[in-house]
Amino acid sequence: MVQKQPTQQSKLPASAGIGLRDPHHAQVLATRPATGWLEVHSENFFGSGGEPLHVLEQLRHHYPISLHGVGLSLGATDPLSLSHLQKLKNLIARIEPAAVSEHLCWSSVAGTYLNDLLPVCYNQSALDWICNRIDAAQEYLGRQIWIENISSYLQWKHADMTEWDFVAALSRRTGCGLLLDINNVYVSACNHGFDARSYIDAMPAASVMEIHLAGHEHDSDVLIDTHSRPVCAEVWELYAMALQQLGAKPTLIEWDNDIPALEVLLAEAAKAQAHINLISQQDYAAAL
Amino acid sequence: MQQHSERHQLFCDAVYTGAPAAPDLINAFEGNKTSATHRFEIYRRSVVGNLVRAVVATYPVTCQIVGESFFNAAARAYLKNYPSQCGDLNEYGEHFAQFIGAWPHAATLPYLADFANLEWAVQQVYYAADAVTDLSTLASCPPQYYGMLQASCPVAFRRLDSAWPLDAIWRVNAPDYSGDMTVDFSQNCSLAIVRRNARVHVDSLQPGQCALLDALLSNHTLGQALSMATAADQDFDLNNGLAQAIQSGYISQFYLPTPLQETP
Repeated sequence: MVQKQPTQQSKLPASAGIGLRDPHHAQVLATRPATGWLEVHSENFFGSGGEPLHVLEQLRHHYPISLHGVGLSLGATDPLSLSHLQKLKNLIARIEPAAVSEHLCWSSVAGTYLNDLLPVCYNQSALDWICNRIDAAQEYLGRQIWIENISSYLQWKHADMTEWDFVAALSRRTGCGLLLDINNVYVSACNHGFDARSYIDAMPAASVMEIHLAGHEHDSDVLIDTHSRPVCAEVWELYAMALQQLGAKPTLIEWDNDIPALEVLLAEAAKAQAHINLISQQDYAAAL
Repeated sequence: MQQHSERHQLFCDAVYTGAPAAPDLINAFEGNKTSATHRFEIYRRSVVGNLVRAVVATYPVTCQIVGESFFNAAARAYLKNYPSQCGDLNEYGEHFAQFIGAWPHAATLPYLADFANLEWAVQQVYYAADAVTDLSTLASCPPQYYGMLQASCPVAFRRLDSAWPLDAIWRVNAPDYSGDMTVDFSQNCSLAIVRRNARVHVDSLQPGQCALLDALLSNHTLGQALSMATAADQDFDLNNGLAQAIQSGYISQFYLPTPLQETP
């Protein structure tokens, strides 16, 4: 079991951050907007050089950076990809991020990748298997990683535990941090008919290191996690509730499709910041 | 984990073949058959959409040439033949040139495969490590040993030849180009793809430059390479040809063969 804390001096502040996406690179570099931190998709910086990496190497001096992976396939039955881990390790050495995270999902089988975040079957054998893989990844990278819950549209019949029990067990057994995506909780709760509040209630507050917020879309009766819209009212409400329970946490606005002007993204992050400020004031008042 | 693996395989096969999901797969999900089938199709659309977008992102000009709907059809056919092998989507599409060259629907565009090769090279150069330029060996080399120098190219460099005028096609399809769109398809080309000032450039090479670079790339000495350049192009500028190759970023380092270095 690995319980290493990030060794870097920078730590993700308990404030709102934004996802740094390609169309905003030049503007963020030129204007350095006031935001607590930046998150990027690790794989987009796996190259050994070039402009994206130059941008990130400059910005890391001004913002704490969170490296968020989408391709490690921790929930797959394949062997862990050592080349993927090595590229991630190289990037970590170069960027010295405040956080490194991945998803609780599978995206490959027998060497073929689907490059999507697919749900695992929440049962004991999968839990044992994925715990071993998180241990191995943390060992290889020499640091704690944070695991994010995904949105799902299907649930496997052979599951014998809830997703929230599964997620909580991962952090208890491997010492990994949790990245709680509240939009994903909401989307899955609507799609599978569970109470999103039960999910958040089950989260171990000390293990939740970061929160994600995003927008989704509808396909008839199914909610789809598209990261293409503003955060909806119901998710803001759940977020407020989560902060009450978990305390102030670094919070990211994710926007990956139909990416808006940087100002729109920053305004959405400012809403999250207002929620965090409120919680921090309450905590401060309670401490007096 | 055997059962998990088998179900993942059924899921993966169903996504890539485009065939309806097998009953064994649909029955492995909660909910009724209609709902599970509908939801599986959401995943299929998402996976296919991600992969097609990745191919478009790597081959934007090829896509522009043939139009989006034709290109999307090609990308969909490609992914059935070449499933993704990597967790990094930026690496997807490596064999697209080979595929499009053999795809019957693109047979009327015989230059397309070579053009896709060029776009793959552009992406490789875009993400490659920065050049480490070190001309100290050249600077300190006694003149009598010049001819024995060998050279290497930066990682962010590719050479490409084609029987088609890829350079002209590249130029007229550039986002900021507004001139004559005519391309003389009887022309061929020799290209250097290189990163200068953080941007990828596609340079057309004259026969002499081309012979010089190819000779150096295949470990010939500078003396041999300059002779080959002159043989290929009698107008090759012996005085400035090498300097031009260095300034253009094609050559980043010189070295002397080891036994010579050890000579006091």
